[in-house]
Amino acid sequence: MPVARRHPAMLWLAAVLLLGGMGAAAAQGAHPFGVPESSAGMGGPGWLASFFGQVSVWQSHFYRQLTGAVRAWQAEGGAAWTLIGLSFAYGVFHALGPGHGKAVISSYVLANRQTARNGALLALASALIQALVAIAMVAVLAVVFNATAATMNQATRWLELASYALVTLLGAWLVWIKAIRPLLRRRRVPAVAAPPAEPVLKGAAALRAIAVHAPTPHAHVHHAHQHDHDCGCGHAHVPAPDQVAGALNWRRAGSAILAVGLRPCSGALIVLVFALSQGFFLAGVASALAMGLGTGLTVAALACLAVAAGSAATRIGNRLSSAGAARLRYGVEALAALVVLLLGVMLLGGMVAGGG
Amino acid sequence: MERTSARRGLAALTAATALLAAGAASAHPHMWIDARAVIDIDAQHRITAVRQVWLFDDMFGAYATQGLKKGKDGSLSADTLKGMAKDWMTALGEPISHYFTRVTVDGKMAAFAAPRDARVDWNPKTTRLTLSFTLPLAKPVAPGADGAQVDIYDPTYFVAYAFDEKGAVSLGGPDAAACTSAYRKPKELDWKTMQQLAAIPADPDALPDELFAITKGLTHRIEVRCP
Repeated sequence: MPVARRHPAMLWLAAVLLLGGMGAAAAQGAHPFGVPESSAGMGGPGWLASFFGQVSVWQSHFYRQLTGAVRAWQAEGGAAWTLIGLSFAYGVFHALGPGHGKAVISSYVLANRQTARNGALLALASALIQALVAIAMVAVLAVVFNATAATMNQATRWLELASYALVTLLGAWLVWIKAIRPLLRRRRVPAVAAPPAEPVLKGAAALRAIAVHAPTPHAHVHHAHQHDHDCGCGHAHVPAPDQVAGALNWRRAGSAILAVGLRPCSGALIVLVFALSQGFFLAGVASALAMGLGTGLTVAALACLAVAAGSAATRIGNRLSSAGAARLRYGVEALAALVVLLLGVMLLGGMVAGGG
Repeated sequence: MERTSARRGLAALTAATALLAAGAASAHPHMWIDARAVIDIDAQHRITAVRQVWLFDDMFGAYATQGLKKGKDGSLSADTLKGMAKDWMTALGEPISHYFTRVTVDGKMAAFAAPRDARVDWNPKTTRLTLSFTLPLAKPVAPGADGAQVDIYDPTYFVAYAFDEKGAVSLGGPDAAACTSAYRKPKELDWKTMQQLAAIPADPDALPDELFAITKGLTHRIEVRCP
């Protein structure tokens, strides 16, 4: 896009998408010692790798002190804040590292023209869900059933798979709504003189009809990188007409929140199990929640950046012409939608390649 | 009962091995090992084996032993520990891991025979596991004019080793006194190296990755010389 050269806002937009997206390329292999670890690997250009490298150094720095902090709290109640502070810092650096969470949230927010407030809410909610999933998983599997590490790894794996599948579905749905449907509709409008019904309603109804009868053949035709297996894209995510814009609709945002939050953070899992082994599960719960808050606030900041970049793009567009503005807006939203879909496909593909 | 728990322990680690690696390329250590190494020297002044003791961090210990059948004092049965040792050695023997140890003489990597004396100890008080094992060389090698290099490191940077304890590196065997050893810490990962590292494709079988680490001084290096 030539606009990218003309205005820093577009660079910001690109940077935000990159920051999340590039690093999330799945890199899998076999490590002899089993600890659940997110499959985000290093990828992307050098400067990004350096950034992530530095972030991971800090992340390790805080992580390593967590066990000492749990023990200190156990010995003396006043030390609770040390653990909470360290966990919060770990969460912040965890969110700055490579991972799909911030990319999905930022792209979702961009593609849906969400406000900064909605973006921040989405980010916080997904981080909170992530912490609660970790707590619930350890509480049920380890506390109630005394499950082994292997069982918990397996459970993490399933949640991860579900999370990636949701990202893919969400991406496919966004691509349909934001990239493909507007094109189809534009082609249809001149042919039908004075359409009798509201176009939004018509579109949604048409989409529902397609989604119910067939697994959206359009998405498969238009995008060569689509997966081969039948994914039933769109079934779960057909929006009601009244859901297309406006204040944050929790039911609709739920798919984005779940897509990000379903996979528990390995750091949280391990701290929870460690706290449990010390007979002090409460410390693990507090730590996991503090991590979630740190992650949530950081991703919220990134999502706000994405929103700012998006509205800057709109302002540039308005300076051009109304047609130009619409085209630019379409470009931003379609690109963001595509990023979500690509991420989902990459993450799922990485998991399948890694031996599922 | 004992048998079942041992098998569960085994299953745990096998599954774990297959599962995760994921952090592999992320250069984010999630495990810490306080290590000790003894290099055995025979009467002909050749290296015959590398003996190591790895003390894992407390978080890993708590996680890896979660759900395993423990005694009143938190101890694990001998069967369980034996199963763990066997399983870990199998996993570590995969070409990608290569016991996280490499012995090089004159630029050539020496082959290992099957590892011996593997055992796991568990301290329920500190929640730390220890793995001890001996890696015999397939054929004893004499350190040449440039000495022999023993490199210990995880090429995926998932495990961070530390040889900080006093006497963590030493020589053993019948003629230890004939040789000298010098230990060198891995270089801190600087930004430039990190970039180069990231440029290597994340193919687990790719050899360049490990050669890269060795040539860039990112390993724990023990230099053995027998003048």
